[in-house]
Amino acid sequence: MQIDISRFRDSFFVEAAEHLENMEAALLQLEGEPENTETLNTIFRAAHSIKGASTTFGMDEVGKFTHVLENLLDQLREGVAKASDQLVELMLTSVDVIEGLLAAEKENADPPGNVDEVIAALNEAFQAATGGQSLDGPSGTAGKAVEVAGESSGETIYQIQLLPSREFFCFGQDPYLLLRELAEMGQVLDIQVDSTALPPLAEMNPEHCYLHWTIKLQTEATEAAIHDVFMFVDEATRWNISLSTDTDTDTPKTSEANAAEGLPTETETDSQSQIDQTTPIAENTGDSAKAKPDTSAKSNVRRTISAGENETVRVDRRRLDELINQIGELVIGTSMVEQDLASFGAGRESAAMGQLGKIVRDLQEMSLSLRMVPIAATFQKMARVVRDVSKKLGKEVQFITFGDETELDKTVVDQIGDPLVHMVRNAVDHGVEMPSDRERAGKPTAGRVELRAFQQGGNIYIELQDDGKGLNRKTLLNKAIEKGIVDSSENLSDNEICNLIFAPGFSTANEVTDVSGRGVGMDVVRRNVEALQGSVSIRSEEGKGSTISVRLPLTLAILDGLLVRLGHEVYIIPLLSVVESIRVSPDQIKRIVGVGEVITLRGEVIPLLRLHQALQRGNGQDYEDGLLVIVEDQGRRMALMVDELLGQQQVVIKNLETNFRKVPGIAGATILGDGRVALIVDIYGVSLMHRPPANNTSASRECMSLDSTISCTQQDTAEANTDPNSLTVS
Amino acid sequence: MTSDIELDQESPAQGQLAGDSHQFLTFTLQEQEFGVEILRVQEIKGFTRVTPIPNMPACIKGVMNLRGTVVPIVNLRSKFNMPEAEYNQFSVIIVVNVEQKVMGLVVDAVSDVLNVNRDAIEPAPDLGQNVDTAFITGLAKSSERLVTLLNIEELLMHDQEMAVAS
Repeated sequence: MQIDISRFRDSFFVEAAEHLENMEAALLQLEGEPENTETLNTIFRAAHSIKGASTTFGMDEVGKFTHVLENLLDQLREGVAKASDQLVELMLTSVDVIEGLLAAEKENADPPGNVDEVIAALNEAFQAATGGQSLDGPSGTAGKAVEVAGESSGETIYQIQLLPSREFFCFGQDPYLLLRELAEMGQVLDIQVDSTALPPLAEMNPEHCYLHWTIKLQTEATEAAIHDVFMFVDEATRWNISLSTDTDTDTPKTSEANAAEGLPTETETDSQSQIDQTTPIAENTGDSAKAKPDTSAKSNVRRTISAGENETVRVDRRRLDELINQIGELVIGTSMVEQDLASFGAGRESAAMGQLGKIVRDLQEMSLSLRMVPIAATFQKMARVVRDVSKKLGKEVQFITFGDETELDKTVVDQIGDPLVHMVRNAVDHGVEMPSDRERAGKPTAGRVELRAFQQGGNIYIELQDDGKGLNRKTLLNKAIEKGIVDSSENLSDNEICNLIFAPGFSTANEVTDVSGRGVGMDVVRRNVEALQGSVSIRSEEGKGSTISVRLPLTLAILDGLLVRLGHEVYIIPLLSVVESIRVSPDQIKRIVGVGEVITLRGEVIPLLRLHQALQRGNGQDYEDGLLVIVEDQGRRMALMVDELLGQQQVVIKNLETNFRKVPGIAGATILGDGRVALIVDIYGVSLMHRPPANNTSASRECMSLDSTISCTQQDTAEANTDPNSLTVS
Repeated sequence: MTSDIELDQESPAQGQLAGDSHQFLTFTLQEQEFGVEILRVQEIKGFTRVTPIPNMPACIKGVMNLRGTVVPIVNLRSKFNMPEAEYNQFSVIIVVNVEQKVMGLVVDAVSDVLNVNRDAIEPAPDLGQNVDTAFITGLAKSSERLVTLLNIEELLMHDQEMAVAS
């Protein structure tokens, strides 16, 4: 049967990316503790999985490369070579190469240029490792060398039981391939097939596997290596590997005992194989029986972990969104029924309705949590960034993360990566000083960079703190004035000066390095974060370090909104932008030439926008005593005049672009409890629509106070400049 | 939502017939008959509340809630420079699928489904200024009727004024 595997390609790439992620994380961990065999095994497993799968998909380049890497890893695992810093570095580069190769396969692009180079380096390292072994053998690290020698001289005999699941063939597997692979590992002394489960021909399903095998294998390979053969079989398939102490007196252990045995570590296998040679058989079996609890405890832990991994289900994002969408509809539908019921029942509360409402709300909450993923993977990538950048710059940096388990909307997590990379690079490049400078400043030579994530209210905060030199306000201000970002006459608070680094075209690095300093970094960070409906700010103390704080909404699917009425329509203003709402009398509204209407609120002049005019809604009503909603966007305040405040509500955001196009001044739409569509106001977009109206009103209203006009004009420079009628008051 | 009719597109009887015959859903606008290819039609709905969108040309009536999806509604009367009509219970929204977007067309009334042979379609004549002929596939004559067949891709996606795809 020909199976079209191309449709699995996408999931292969997703899985491969995960393996690479694990590998990278483990490598970084290995750098700290080079002796950790469990970490090494993780790396090896990841490499092996990528190799196997990529070969299946005909990506020979990837397969070939991973094979070379795997050889080296094998040496490390065997304890022949040590995971030195150079080796880890080399392997990290290899991870990048694999990533590049995979990307090349995925997008039909050119493979990374340094493949051959890295392969050569890996081979060299491999040669060095194997060469080192033979040199070290006689004299060097006694225990290990002897173990290795012992193992190679006396091959171990394993009894392997293979119990394929019924659906074994349905997964595209073939027991013959497994058996052949086992045979290649050593010498097969005996193989038996158990056909007792085979039903009569009439009842037999030809697509099912009814046979079990028992293999006696004499090999140099470790038990872990044998387990690796079965790496890709389906979950229901069982296999047991046990040590067969003697070819003649093989009393196969019961399957329970075998199952409990699990995966002893290599050293145990090795030591057991040594015992085999020295101790009588009976005692050995007794010993191993006694020694079992420890081993089985270990293997049990492993089993649970892998079972846990298997319990996740991969779901297409669109289907998930669809589900969440429909549940959102269910919530709306329920509240519609509730309203109907209330009108029929004349105020009598229905217990059943209350119950249903609660279930539906729980359901919605649950559905939203489906999209939430921990930020750990993103933080992981930052560890690599810190490592690479600090190595390159010759700085010592201790990187610590907190709150890895904090959960965020998948979309947010996907999009926060790039801004975080910028931030982290900046912290290491500009924040943390060179070790010598640090010493002079009386700080520990190693800088400390902390990345924290936590939830507060309906927001997630990500904070990046370094203990570096902090921001120099004078330099910042001079730079900003030089670049024309601020005017020298402006009086800025310390905090405002610090936040200038988020202004477009701002970079304080004296020279452009390839690490940072292109003058786009922090500006891009701000824009990306704002695109996610978040905000970013920095606190800094000179000489002590800086903390950048990113605030993000928990989810992009839901928004806390202020419902306002404009004529007959309901509009929603994002509550995040709302500062306050006030009622003003007509005489509090002033008119300034070139600016339009403004109000003065506690001494601050705020431009006023009649929302119904900007959105062309309603007319003929007395808006003069309308309500004002003061909103803030990127530090700019604006007063929006509305007809009525209707209340506050969480709304599910619907994209207008899905079926239509982007509408200026509108961020999206939502469906209200009564089934109506309400539009969500885009504060920034609306602020762009704020144009000074044609100047035709009486001069008596015009405010000529110069002090207050200056700040107004500066706030509105963008609009004022584009308006040919504008007058510059200052 | 008084007269929702679901058109089953999968059913061969309603789909494209064998040979060169095409099916069109016909509707009226100011006594004129128009037709849209039936494979584009997702469903037909009674007229419901429409939320207006600010700063849009008159032919964009607004958006409606179609079972949780926000769907833009195009007023074909104003698109064709016809006088505005009061929308009542006979007004109908034809929900169409165009280039993966779902949109609604408000029409006066839906008539029936018309089988048209491809060779029975005549090229669009110059209809003067009232109707731009770019989005007219052709004219179909069936007994006493004359139906203007609309190319809704052209009408909804590529028209300057609509500029939906932009």
